[in-house]
Amino acid sequence: MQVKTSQIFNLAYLLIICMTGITQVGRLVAALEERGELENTLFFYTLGDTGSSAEGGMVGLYKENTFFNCVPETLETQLEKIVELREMFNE
Amino acid sequence: MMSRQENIVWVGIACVFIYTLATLLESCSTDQKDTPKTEINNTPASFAGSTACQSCHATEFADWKKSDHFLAMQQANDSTVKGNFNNATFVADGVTNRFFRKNGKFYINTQGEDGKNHDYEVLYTFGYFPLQQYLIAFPGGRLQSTRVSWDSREKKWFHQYAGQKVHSQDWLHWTGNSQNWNTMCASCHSTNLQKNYDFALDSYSTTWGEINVSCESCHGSGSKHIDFMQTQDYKSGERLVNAGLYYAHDTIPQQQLNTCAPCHARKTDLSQAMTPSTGIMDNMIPQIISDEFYFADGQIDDEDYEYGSFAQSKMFHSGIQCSNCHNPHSGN
Repeated sequence: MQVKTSQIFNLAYLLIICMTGITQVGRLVAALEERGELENTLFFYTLGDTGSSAEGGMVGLYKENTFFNCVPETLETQLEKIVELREMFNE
Repeated sequence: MMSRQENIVWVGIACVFIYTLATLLESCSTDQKDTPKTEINNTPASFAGSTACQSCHATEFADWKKSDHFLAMQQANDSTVKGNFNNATFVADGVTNRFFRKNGKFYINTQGEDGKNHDYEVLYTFGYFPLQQYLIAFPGGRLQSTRVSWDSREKKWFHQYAGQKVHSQDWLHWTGNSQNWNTMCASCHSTNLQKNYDFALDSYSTTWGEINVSCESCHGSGSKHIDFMQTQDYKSGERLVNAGLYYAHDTIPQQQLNTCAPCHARKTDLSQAMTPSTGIMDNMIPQIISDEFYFADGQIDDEDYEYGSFAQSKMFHSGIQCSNCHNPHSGN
């Protein structure tokens, strides 16, 4: 595969994409397509909260205390906390 | 050529023969002396407390009373507090700290989470030499360790982040997560410590069996040992491997390192309860030997607690173990 200069340019911007929501990635793809840059772009997708942090793991982390205290966060508790967070922002 | 039926018969005979041989070998290899006749009990050993060890192990007990392990954590009182609390003032990096006594208790006036100074009562001493820190109670079952600490060598107060102004809301501030006792410090300063973090409430109900690092921190819970020593098996000369304890006698270097390393290492724990294993990394991820924390030749630079350097040393690989140079009970 021949890598063009413009591809390297985009690569520099997209080297690490740190997003947990697939919707946001979709928006990014749509925006690149709109600008006609999609075919010139290489994607590197990393999983994790705010990047693949040692504490974050594969599914992200609500609070580092769970990691440090070896208390696994379940999907149920994470969803509860997400609802709590939303309510906090709405107040 | 043998028939198919003959083959099956021979395979069957071979299986029976191998099984019998294996059973015989297994029974021979087990040292009869290591198998107690009396069934002690099948319940897991429980923690007995260091006072139960004292009557039979007086020398070790006396050594331990003089050790840093004994002083790892203590109630704050006249005999345990080393720092100067005679209305001493220490100004460092934008914060004025005052250390004083009131009604027989010890207090530190220092910057709180809100950025303003408050009086905080010292509940526990943490460590002894070369420095001593002080633990203060916060809501949610937390204890926090102050950044201003006592230098036991120079006999003076000092700031752990000298030259850095740590914002009161910063993770590194003494009221923040990095200085939280329950998470960061507790498990290596007390015996049979249970962190008991509640994710839903973001709070702790941390408990310990003994406040400091006592016998059972290294030797394991002692009830089985005590039970065994009172049986006829022991009195009639029967033996139980290590008399039901961990690493009482004749350890090989790796076994002993497995006992010391869980605390004498900069590491991350993998589970709440230690998994019985001969592999250290089944229970923890040690800090990689990087130039951020170690000198280029592998010697300790930062807060590394021995393991990382020792495990790669020529000494360890020549069979030297911690207790060749240190008395594990007194720590000298």
